Amino acid sequence: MSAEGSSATKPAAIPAAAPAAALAGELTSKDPAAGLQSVVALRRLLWEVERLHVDNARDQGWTWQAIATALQVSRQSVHEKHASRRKAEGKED
Amino acid sequence: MFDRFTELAKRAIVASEDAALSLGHDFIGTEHLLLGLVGTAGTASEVLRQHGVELPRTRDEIARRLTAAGVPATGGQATVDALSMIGIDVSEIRRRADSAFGPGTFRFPRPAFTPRAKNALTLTLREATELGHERIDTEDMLLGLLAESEGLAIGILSAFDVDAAVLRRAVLDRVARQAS
Repeated sequence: MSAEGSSATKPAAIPAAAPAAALAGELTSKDPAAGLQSVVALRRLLWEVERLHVDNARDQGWTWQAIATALQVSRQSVHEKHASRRKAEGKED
Repeated sequence: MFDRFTELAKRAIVASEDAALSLGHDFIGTEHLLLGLVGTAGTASEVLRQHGVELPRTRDEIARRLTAAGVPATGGQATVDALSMIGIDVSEIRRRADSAFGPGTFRFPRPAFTPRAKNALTLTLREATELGHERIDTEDMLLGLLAESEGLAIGILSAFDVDAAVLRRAVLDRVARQAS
């Protein structure tokens, strides 16, 4: 909502679709601040996308083990990360 | 961590995230946990209200303090911009996720708990254990929040002349009365 609202006033300096070379430049910047900021942004995006797809898999009846295998992590690790969260959100008994 | 939380306590957690998002803050601090507790029914909000801690003024005080401290209220726009710089269009992902999985399933950037807020939740578990509570309710959350003395929640309460120790005693009295 707030992010959506302010994206309309996004500074013109940020291109809607930056060319591939510019993208690679951003990810390989020698400026630690820029490089690390990209890492954090990607990590946070990864977390939200993981959450989305774990929820979708569970809603489609996937077992924790099947999800863990697909994510190439242990069942315990995926369970720790998502099971209690899903319970808290009322998505799981 | 939230397995043992009651329905009301879970609602208070969700209300904390909603509070952070609506204030445009890109994190959930102890102040947002306080706001979540004030705005959710239960023993915590009853005790808080008895001490004059109410939703609008708490919200205003938090906004005022964080703005004064230079905390951006842009809802994590910097993170969205950083992804835009590497060719990832967050609003397009959100649009498609909304249509594939339902509105609001993809929340980005989703505010995360600060270390102090996490500590307040850890202390919540400890308080509940000490009181012999099997389920964790809003009163345990308030005790945990008050035990995290470094958090901004305590500062917000002081601004209303509410002392953490006094509030803690009020919660414990209340819990003792409910048990008897």
